Order: sequence, then structure tokens, then C-alpha cells
Amino acid sequence: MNGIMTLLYFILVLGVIASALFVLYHLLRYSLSKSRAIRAAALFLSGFFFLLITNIILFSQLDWESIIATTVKSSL
Amino acid sequence: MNTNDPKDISFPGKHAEEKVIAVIHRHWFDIFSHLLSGISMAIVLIGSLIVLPALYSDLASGQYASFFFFMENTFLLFLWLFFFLIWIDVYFDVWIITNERIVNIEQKGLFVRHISELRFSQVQDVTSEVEGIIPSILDYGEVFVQTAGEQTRFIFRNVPNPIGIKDLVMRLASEAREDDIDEAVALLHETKRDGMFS
Repeated sequence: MNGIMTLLYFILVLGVIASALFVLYHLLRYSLSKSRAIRAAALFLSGFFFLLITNIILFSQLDWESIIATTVKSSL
Repeated sequence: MNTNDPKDISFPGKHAEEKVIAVIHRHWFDIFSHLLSGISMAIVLIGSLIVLPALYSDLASGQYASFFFFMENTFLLFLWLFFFLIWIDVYFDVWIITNERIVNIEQKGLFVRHISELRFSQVQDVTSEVEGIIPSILDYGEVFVQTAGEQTRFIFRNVPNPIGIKDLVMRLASEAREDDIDEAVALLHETKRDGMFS
């Protein structure tokens, strides 16, 4: 179960990183001034990396088998 | 109206000698209204972070707490991306008025971008429109530029100070027509001098 959840999470993270790359590309390519582009990209990346890293840390602390077992037990 | 140092502005197709006079984005309230759904979700997120652990003690400690914070964090990550996607879609709609033309760059989603331009000599008529209580109080609305080109109407959507923009476009269009007349008169004098007309 942990293996399946890790694989699904990996796919989710890839999707999130791809979306972030799209956003970053647009911020850098289509901003009218270089200074604004850098400021916007810096803001976006700082928030994004903070949330992604904390997300990965929180995910690594989860024991899916225990969570699912406890949930099933309490619902029966 | 101008929110940037014009010297710092660069856009596709900008000529070397072209001077940027104004860069116009949508009014902040219009941008805010597009972000409102994201702001609402952020409020729900913060509320759930406070209320749910208080209501359900399992979420306050133990393995369910870890799962709860993981889900909240994932939601926040998606929200962060959502905010920037909306920002790109709305803030990157821009109208650039230069000494030669008006350039309209419209970002429609992530993968569609329309760029159109209008030379001042093609401007026939300019009208501004402010409709509604909030636009009247906050002074934003639309500016319609009637053109002689293929695109018959050029629209500035939900922009601040629409009357000021209308006046600016009218003045620049008038100056462009005077320049065209001066050029035509100079050409006429030249051709008379060369004896092409008796």
C-alpha cells in the first residue's frame, strides 16, 4: 500500500512541477520588464519550493497502511 | 495610468526608436474579482485548519493529524499554483500606448496569446464607458477605439481612468493625422518643385 501511494504521489509531484514550470516560463517570458519578471519568479519559486518541500516531508511521515487499517476498523 | 518606468518596458515587435507612453493593465478590482475564488478557498483552508482539529480531536494529534496537515499542505500548494495561473491570465492582459501605435496583448489561459496593434492614423473615433456602481466609484471601465482597419473596434477592457485614456488616444490620433497632413503637404511641394504638376 505504501508503495502504491508513493507511486501516486510521485505522479502528483511530477504534475505539480510541470505546472510550476509553465507558470515560471510565462512569468519570465511574458513580463514586460526584466526586473518585474525576476521579482515575480522569485516570489513564486520561494512559495512553491517551501510548500513542495514541506509537502514531501509530511508525505514521508505518513504510514498509509496504518491509516487505512485504522479507518477501515473505525468504519466497521 | 503608467505603472512602469517606460524605459524598462519591452514587448514583442517594439521598434528601436519607439517610445512607450503608457502601459495599462486591468484595474486592480477586476484582478481581485478574478482572484476572489482563490481567496475564498484560502479562507476556507485557514478556517478548516483552526476549526476541524477543535471539532475532531483525532485531527489534533496522532497519525490522523499528520494526514490532515499533509492534505492541508497539498491544498495550499494547489492554491498557490492556482493564484499564479489566474494572475498570468488576468495581469498579462496589457495595452501599451506608444508614440506610434497601441499594442494590445491578451493572454487567454496559458497557451493562447493574442497580440494586435493599431496605428494612430487608423483611429476614427474613441469612446469610454463606465457602467455600474463599483466601476463608477473606483473609476474603471472600457474604452472603445473605432478603427479603419481590419479589426473595426479595439477595446480596452476594465481599465483604470478610461476618460484619461480616451483623451490620450484622441490627442495622439490627432497628432498622427497632423503629421500625415504635414507629410502630404511636404510631398506635394516636392512634386510641384520637380514639375510633376503644373
